[in-house]
Amino acid sequence: MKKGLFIIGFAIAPLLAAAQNLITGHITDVRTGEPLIGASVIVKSEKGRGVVSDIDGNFKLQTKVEAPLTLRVEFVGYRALDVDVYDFEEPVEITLRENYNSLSEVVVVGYGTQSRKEFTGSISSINGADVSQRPIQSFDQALAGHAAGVSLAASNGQLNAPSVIRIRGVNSISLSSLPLFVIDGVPVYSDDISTNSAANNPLSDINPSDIESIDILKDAASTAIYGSRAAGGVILVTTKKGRSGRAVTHYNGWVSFTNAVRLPEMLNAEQYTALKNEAITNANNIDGGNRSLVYQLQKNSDGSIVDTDWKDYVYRTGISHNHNIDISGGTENITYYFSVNYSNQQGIFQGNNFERKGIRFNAEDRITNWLTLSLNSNYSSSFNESPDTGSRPGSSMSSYGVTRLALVLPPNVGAYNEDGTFNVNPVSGTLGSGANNSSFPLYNPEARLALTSNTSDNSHFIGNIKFVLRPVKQITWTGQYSLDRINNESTSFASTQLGSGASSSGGSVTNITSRFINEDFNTTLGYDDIFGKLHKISLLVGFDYQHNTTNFWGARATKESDDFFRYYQGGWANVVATGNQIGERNYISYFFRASYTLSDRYFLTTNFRRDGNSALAKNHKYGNFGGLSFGWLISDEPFFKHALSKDAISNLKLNASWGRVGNGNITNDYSSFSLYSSSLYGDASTWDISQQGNDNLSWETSSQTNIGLSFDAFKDRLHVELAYFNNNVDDLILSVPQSPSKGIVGNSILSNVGSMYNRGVEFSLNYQVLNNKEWKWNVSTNFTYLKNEVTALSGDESAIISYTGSGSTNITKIGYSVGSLYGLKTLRVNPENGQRVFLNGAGEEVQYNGLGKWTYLDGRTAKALSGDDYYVLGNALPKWYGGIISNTEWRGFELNFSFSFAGGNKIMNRSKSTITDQIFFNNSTEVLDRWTTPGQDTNIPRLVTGDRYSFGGSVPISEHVENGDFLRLQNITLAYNLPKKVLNNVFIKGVRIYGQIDNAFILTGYSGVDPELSANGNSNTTPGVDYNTGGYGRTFTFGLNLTF
Amino acid sequence: MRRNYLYKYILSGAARSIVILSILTVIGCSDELETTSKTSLSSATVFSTEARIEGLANGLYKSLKTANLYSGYLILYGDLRAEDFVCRTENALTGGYVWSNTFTNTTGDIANTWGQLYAAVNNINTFIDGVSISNVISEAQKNHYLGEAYFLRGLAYYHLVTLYATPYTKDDGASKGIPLRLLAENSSEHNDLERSSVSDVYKQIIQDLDNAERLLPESYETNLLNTTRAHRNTAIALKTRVYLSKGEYTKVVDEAKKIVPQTAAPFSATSGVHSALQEDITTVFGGNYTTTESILSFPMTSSDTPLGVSLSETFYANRIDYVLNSSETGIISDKSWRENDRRRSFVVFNQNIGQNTLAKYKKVSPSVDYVPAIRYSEVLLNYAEASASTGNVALAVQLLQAVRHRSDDTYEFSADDLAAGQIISTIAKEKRIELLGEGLRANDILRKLETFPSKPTLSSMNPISVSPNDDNYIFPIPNSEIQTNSLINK
Amino acid sequence: MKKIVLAIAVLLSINISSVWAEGNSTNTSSVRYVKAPRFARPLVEKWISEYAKTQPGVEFQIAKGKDNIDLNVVFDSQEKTKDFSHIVVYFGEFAVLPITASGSEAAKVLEGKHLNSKKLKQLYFLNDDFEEDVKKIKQFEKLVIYSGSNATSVASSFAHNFGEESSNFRGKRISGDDLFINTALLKDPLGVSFNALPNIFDLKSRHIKNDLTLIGIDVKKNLEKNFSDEATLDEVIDALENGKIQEVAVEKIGVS
Repeated sequence: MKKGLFIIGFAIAPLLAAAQNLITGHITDVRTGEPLIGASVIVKSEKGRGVVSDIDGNFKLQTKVEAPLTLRVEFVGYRALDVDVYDFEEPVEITLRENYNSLSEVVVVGYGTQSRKEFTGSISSINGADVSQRPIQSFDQALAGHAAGVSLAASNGQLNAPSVIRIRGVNSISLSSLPLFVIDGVPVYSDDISTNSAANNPLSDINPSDIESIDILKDAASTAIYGSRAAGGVILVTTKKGRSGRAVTHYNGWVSFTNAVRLPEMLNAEQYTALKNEAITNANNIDGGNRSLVYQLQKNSDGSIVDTDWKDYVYRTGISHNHNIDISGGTENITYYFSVNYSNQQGIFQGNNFERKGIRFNAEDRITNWLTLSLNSNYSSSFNESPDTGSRPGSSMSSYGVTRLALVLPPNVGAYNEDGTFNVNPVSGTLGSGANNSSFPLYNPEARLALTSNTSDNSHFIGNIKFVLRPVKQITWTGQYSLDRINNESTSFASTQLGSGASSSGGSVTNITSRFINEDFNTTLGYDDIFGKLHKISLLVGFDYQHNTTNFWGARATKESDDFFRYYQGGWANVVATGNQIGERNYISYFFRASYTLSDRYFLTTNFRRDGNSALAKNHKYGNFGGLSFGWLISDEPFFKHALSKDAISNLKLNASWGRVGNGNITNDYSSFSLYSSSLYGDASTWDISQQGNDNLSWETSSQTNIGLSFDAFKDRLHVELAYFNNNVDDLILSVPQSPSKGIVGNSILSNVGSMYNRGVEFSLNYQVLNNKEWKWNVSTNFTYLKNEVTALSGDESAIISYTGSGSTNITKIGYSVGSLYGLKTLRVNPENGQRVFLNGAGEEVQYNGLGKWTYLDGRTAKALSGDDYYVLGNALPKWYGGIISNTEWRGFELNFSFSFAGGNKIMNRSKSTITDQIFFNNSTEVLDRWTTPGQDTNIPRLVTGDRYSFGGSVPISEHVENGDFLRLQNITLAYNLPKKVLNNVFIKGVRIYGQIDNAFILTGYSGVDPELSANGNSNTTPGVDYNTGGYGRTFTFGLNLTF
Repeated sequence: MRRNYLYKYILSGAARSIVILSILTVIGCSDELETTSKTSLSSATVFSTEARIEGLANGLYKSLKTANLYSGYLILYGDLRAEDFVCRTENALTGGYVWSNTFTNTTGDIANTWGQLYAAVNNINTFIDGVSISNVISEAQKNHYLGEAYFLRGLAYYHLVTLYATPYTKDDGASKGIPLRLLAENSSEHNDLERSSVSDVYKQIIQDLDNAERLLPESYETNLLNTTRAHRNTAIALKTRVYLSKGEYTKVVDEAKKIVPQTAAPFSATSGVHSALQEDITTVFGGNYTTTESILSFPMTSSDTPLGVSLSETFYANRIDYVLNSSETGIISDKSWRENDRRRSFVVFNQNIGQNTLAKYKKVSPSVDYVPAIRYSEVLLNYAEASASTGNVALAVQLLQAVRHRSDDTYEFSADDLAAGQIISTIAKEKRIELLGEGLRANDILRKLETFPSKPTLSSMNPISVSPNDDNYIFPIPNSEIQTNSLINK
Repeated sequence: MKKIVLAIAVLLSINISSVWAEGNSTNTSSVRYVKAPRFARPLVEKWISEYAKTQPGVEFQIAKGKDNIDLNVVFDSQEKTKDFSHIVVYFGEFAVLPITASGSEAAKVLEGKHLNSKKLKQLYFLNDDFEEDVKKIKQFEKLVIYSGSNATSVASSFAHNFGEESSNFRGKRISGDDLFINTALLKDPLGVSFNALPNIFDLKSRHIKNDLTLIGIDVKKNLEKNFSDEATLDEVIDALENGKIQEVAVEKIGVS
């Protein structure tokens, strides 16, 4: 009977869907005991039969195979496990351990994903957890030191200041060196879009907590698929997706406190008046003049001396808080992720605020086995507000810049008069003179704060919808439409009251609204197949169409009818249109990628892209780009397996690539045209030349070679990656300087003329120091060495001189790195007379008496130093940089820290010239060491009023060029995860509390506020200048994560 | 069955993808990449209509109205270098280095003024090219426009040669002058160009102004246009200044006669625009900007306000970077300039700062004072100086008195003041009074090869005096030109 | 055709479920089901009969398959790590010994070895990264450890005895009753495992099962015989009862 049944069963089994065994099981992480969601479980002997574990780590699997059978359990980032199942009665308990075998990771590449094993270019990946809980506005601010080859720092300490990001160096001179940001396949806007002093980086509209991972493509072979926009590298951001199973809810909230650090100590009122008057006396002694001593101490009515520390009026403790709730989950076919976010942040500057309300919805529907639809959408409403901090590009010398005002305003006058009114000059509205017999052209920051405002707010949508169709296993057809749309409104207001800076025009308000729309449609057709087990082929063809429009319009109104009005909509007498601009740019691209894998150890990828860019000249709009890359998994070679123990070295892989990408990121949509703009002459309309075009304007191209080696050692505990790269950029689009006497607009014409290279090596290492059930300690470090050199410009002798404020601080010249520091060379202070000794262009030593007289050291009159006497004063680009990151876990405690470091560069500390300037500016206490007596050896010259040379007031001097080397503790975090035991039977599944310090400390010889500041933002040609730039704060954060 | 359905779907999917791809390919091949500006005209179409050419003509004036030129700074520089103004604030950026005569070849004022004047020159040259070949305007219109262009080019080069070149009077124009750009520049070619000699530059200026005189209309329909666009008498008036700078007094007399035909007051032009002195000088500043006294002024309106800092703010209103020199070296201390002189109303004591300020330009928010370029009283004084220099002292006295008596009708010059040996300096002083704050003082010092005197200071700026042999007697060639034009110092 | 197949399937399922139903009159409230690994069943049965004597009203049965479980067998090491809301009643002890298939390659490798705790740890567990001072035993590396992964497997007991987690075992996992470990060992000549005594010894002959062999452990000379293949179950138990032996996991067993 039994036998008979068996035979029947055997015969009909293949047709019988119902006759199956049910295996149930539970998958957990070895170390944490947390359920693993989304691990795949298949029966090894049965093809195509697999399930994924749900939100509680459980799975149910029907199989026709009888016991004993073997289950294969796989999960990204964990070691795969085979489990022999002998009976199905009980749930199978499976525990997986994390795997640091890097090759099994999946990396996001252009228009798809690849396993690291197959990936043959150069990439750095960063986990979203590294950015999600930091007190930042946009995720890019948390990436410093996290990826080899990527140099990154906020340009200044104002909230939402765009980061200066350089992937393998400066890749252009005139065009943007910013990488392309692609969020879930949507190329998005980056860099500052504000039209006033409130910085506004639209990347801050992405909630950092929504980010799952960040992948940075660094070599041309990887980026070529993004063609024209990828010359600065590509940063691919993937947001979180839901997973099948019960819904999970997370709450993440933090509160933080930020303070300014490393501010210089300034003279007090008594020192100030004494030293300023000393400078006047010195001047009189030099030329026999009879200047009066204009600086006097002012007394309050109670007899006390007015002694103001202006920093108190400019800086504050910024208190910020951030809340995020997300809910994710799904069924087998539909998954979703939904989040809302609120962030309210205060900067270290009074009046510098940021607020974001964001909502995200991501969903994916596997409609059938062969069709999947996915949708990502993010809407943010964000608000930026800031006084002029003097930190945004071009505002270093602003008479409103509070960074400078905090230091240089005279301490012997107050912010307020005794009657409680603002201390302002009744004529000019600038700071009142107090008892000083002098007038100050700078403003009272306290009055400005009350009487002005600058805001920039965004209404920002980023979203895409995508289908993936797999009619047969080998073919994948995708189509995606994406939209990035920003509506920005930037407003600035200055009251009619004295002290606002606009009192003479009766107050003013400027509203500029701008709309940025970037639409992208792309479709790809992919074919993947394996032939005869050894040959794996993957082909992709695609088309990408991008349509970009910008539309600005605005108005400036002056003369308010009543000082009640703070908004444009109030009563104003004069209205003039301002800020108008319309732009359109289209890209059309066709691309192709083919990958071939032989024997799972030889990998070949080639890609090609033909890119059309409407901003380039007619007949030069299309460019062909592409790359070839090769990978060899040496450790899988039989000879290698025999030669070395697998424990010693494994996953040894060599990658080599060569590729050519273009850069057509011209700021102006119509650069190739010679244009005439309309304006008014009196009341008559006019046409004026506004732009000199170039009919031959074409692509910048960069040819990049990348050779990389990666391996694991000590049983995968150590992972090492090495890379050499050589990036030759040719046909650089330069604003080629035209002799001003030609009268060309802007004295320059964009042309493809220059060349330069970036060469270097990268090294990164990840070491699992400890990994057992109680202790887990992981250390990683990365290091990049880079050399940049300009090899050609428009002519052999030509140079591009670039300015910070009104001073020519940088030069780009053949044989030097882009934007090298430039200025007068100073040697010492002459101990005999306290005069600064300079080296003139002819190499002779000359000294300056402070009153316009230049002499040789022997007293003969010398020619006054001018632009002819400038020297290249040093390389402004860091030659080496990197980071050290350590994560430790012990019984629910976590201690994480990340350092970043950089160096090999020089910084021009123009801020120092500000705080030692011999006009009415207050000076730092270092001026107390000034030269006073013959024979005295000091680096501070004799003080002479009006001396704008010896202290670098009007010209950059080499005395203020300093080494930029530093080591910064970017972040240190201490966290505690409540044990499960405590939470048992409570509806809360997980509790994590943490505290962290951002910018905890910095070790540097640099005497300014911070060696990473950039007075000129992302400009390529004026790096390394710190000029009245606001520093970063130190932030203490306390946070709480809850999982329900 | 299911299989069939699947195939159907695949087929339809494939068909659809082909359709979409081909649509997109069509898009790709079409004009999607041929985007053009919606807010600017391209050079290809800007000369295509009469109205646009009129707009371009106005654009030439506009290009001389930039921040460092006739928005006000050009006026400022002329006065600041000399002794009548004192820098009051610590702001070196508003002409401070020019005031103290401590500029270098990298000073912003030096480079910007050079660049903006040459930008105007290139605009003019491009306009001349475009108009010359235009077939949308009549020959008469063409001549009119060319006349304006030549006039403005002459004006621009006159400023360049007087600011940046050794005075003609020093060596009869033998010194190196400035590069003479007469061709429209629109490419990267021709960066290198030697400086022409001062005399060649003057030759070109006079040729342009002569052409302008020939081609310009005698007058326009409105007073506004007569003031803000060049007419025949404008060219003649400017020539009196140009020849004076060359020290060619007979030529000055010849030109002046054309618009000052009388030998005794009242003086006025009898052909073209009837230029004449107004009864009250204060009418000209703030009353009516378009009288016949204002031969050429640059208009300011609420929608076309000065770029940069306006003269009213600089001298009079809130900033007051420069106050009048109240010491004995300043012209306001001159005893012959009496209190009842109407021109004294331009000297206003500001209680808040305890200084005298210049009140010729007073309009703020918006700053709509017209900026004067040529006034009839200047022509009279130019004529007076030239007459005196060529021996016609009697006419010189008539011209001088016409200017003085307009504002102080009871003043009698002493015989000494009017004596042949003295009258030229009397005229010079009258010029300082009459044209105070109108940017002509520095030129008069330069052409007479005098020394820029030292002056008091109210700030930490330390002014120096410069004599004809000092480096900073004239503006240096800007460093930016030296960097890009390898022939500039040849 | 399809219809016929279905008909057979229905027939089959009726057959099977009726078979189940025979031993499965669940819902009579007097029967309580105890879930127990096979090795523990004799003990549990013993406990049930003892229990029946004191509480005749309640009838316990050992659960088979997917009955509604009322009680679980637990080990005391589990109680320490997991959180039981119920009271645990211990009724006995069990021991776990390292084994391999007799005559296998693994047995040859381990023949004559007397492994102490440290070496056993090395043999069975993933090397803890910091105890590098222990010299690696090369031969061990090729051996494959089989360990049970079910909740009722003695794997956790064995691991806890060495201060390890059951997740740290090298080699392969077995799901199902620990009795299947023996099956796995027979299939893999390099297989090494451990099991509870009732799964190692033939309870009738009291001798070790023919196809298994004990792995030598480092015990005092006088006890060596007690842990050899010649030893009877009783000799082993005797040795264990006389004193703690580091290398052998002995745990309390109970129900909860």
